[in-house]
This record gives sequence, structure tokens and C-alpha cells, in this order.
Amino acid sequence: MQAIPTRDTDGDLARRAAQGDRMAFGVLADRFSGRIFAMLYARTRRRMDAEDLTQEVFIRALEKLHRLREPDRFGPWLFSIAVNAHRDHWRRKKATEVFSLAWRKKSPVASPPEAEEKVVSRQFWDRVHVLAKRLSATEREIFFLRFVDDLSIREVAEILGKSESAVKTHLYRALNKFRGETSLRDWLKGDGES
Amino acid sequence: MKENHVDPRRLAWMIADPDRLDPGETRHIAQCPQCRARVHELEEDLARLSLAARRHVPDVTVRVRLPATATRPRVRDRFNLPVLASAPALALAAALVLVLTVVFRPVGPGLQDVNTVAPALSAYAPDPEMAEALSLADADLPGEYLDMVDITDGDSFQEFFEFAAPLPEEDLTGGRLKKGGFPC
Ligand SMILES: [Zn+2]
Repeated sequence: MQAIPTRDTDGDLARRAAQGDRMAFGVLADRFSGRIFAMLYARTRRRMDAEDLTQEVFIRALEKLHRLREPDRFGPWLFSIAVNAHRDHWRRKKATEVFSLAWRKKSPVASPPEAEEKVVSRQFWDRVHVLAKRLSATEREIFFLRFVDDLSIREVAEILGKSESAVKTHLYRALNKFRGETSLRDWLKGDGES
Repeated sequence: MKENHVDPRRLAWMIADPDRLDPGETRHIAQCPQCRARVHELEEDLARLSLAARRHVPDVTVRVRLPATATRPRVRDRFNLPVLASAPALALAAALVLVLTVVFRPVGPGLQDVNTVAPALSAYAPDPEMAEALSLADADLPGEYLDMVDITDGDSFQEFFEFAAPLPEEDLTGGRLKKGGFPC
């Protein structure tokens, strides 16, 4: 997704948007929606879910924008909304599967990874999710925010409301698990050359 | 180079937080091509991961739509939710579980009562994953989610059904993440 070219910083736009400037918020939405979608896709692996959640994130942001004290931190703030939107989605999904199963008395409705996912993409995400399962919940969220969503340690700390020191400690543990994921690492080396 | 190389695990501090390395380790890495190469390889693989994560995301087919008035949409239901699982039906199912719990509660006083819900739930869910899903549906998330700093390390994925990593029930400018996150 292409960001709309403008000299306005995120903070400038967030300040104007907080005062009711919907165009400014629209620019922010265009600027961030691609990254938010990618972040949510990495966690759900379902395009439609990720799109719906992306939409939900921006609606939540619009509702709460007037309460953002530091407009210059709009980006991390938006990601924190996305992290929680995903968490809520996960809980809704689990609850739904529970009652779906209770009703049907058979296996939960398999919700396979994105059916349209290309073979090569599926290979990638399958390997990433093998790594994800080796990480604790905290390591996983921190590692993904840092290296899949490409956020800085400071931003990750802000998003999760944790100290940078704690983030670094979890990141260190996660990095060592990533280091041992030879299948993923070998695949990545080949992917870069393809 | 005669001296021992830095423990490969500790080399990850070069990426996470170089200040955590001992001065001796830092000195060694600065002078040792092999240790530097190991760090470099890890950095390169992480860069490839970030790149691949962008490359292997499908195209977005819809643009974010902003409503005239801010109202939250419902996420489309794509879980083949049966009619039973509508809101009133959820309440009905909860009541049913309660009735079963009362009807089949073990006779006798004491600690047995504490676990009476579990057998009733397991009637619906014989496998452990289902039982956990049921408990998650009603109860709060495991303590692990609630205190991310004191989390114990290790493979705790049994507590998950998939990759999703729920976050603490905290406030986010009117929602969650209040601890130092974004005060409002
Ligand atoms: Zn060395």
C-alpha cells in the first residue's frame, strides 16, 4: 500500500485528526493500513480476517484519538490497538469454536491458512509458525513486532507497555530460538535468491 | 586466535542489547572474525525474515473505510457459526452447562466441589484442547498473559491453539495497555 506523499508528520496529522480533521485521519489510514494489515495477516494468515481487523483498528483509533496524549507516537499507539484487536479476535474465535463444536459434536471447523496463499508464501509462513510455537507468548509477540513487523525496540516497549530492558531480555531468548530454526533460516537464504 | 570464542547464545546480545555483554566478550568479538561472522549471519537472516514477511503478504483488496460517525463494525463471521451460537443461544448453552453441573455434581462435601465444573465441561470436550478452549471462553486468560515481565521462559505453546498471542487485559487509552503504554 502506497503512503500518500505529504510533508506532514504522523504527529501533525494525528493532532489535526484529533481536532476533527477527517482528511488528516484518512492520510494516516493510507499511510499505516498496509503495515497494520501485514501485521495482522502474519498473525491470522487469513486475508479477509486481516482486512476486517485492519478496518476495526482504524475505527477504534478514530474513536480514541482524542485521548492520545502524544500524537507524535501515533504509530506505536496504532500498533498497540492492533495487538489488542488481534487478541480480542483470538478470544472471539476460540469462543465461537467452542460452541460450534459443542453443537456439532465434531472437530472444530478447520480454518486453514489462507487458501489463496501461494505455495512459496505458505512455505514461508508454515516455517515462521513453527518458530512461533517454540516461543513463549511474550517472546512471540516481541519477536514478531521487532523482526516481522519491523518496529524498533523502543516502539515494541511502548506498544506492550513494557520497559526496554524487559523487551531486550525476551528478545534475546527469542533470538536464540530463531538461531536454532535451521529450516526457516535455510529457507530464508534460498528465498532471497529466488 | 587462541582464546575461546564467545558462547553462540551470548552472541545474540549483540543484536538484543550489546551492553549486556561482558567487556571481555565485547573485546573478543571486536577482534574475532568468526564471532563477528556468526553475528552477521544472524543479522542477515533477521533482515531476510523482515523482507520475506513483507513479500509474502497478499495484496489488500479493500481500502480502509471511515464511517461518518465512529461506530465499530463487527468482524465478519467466518467460522461457520451455527445458529445456536447467537448471543441468546450462548446464554442458553451457559445455563445448560450450569444445570448439568448442578445435576451431576458429586455427592459429598469438601474440596470435591471445587472441580465440579470440569467434568461437566469435559462432557462436551473430551480432548484437552477443547477443555482448555472452554475454560478460556469463560475464565480470564492464564496468568502468563497478565504479567509479561515475570513470564517464565520455555515452550508454553500448549497453552495456545495457534500462533495467536493474547495480551494483558489492560487499558489502552480507554481500552487496554495502561502500564506505561499510552497514558491518556
Ligand atoms: Zn570468536
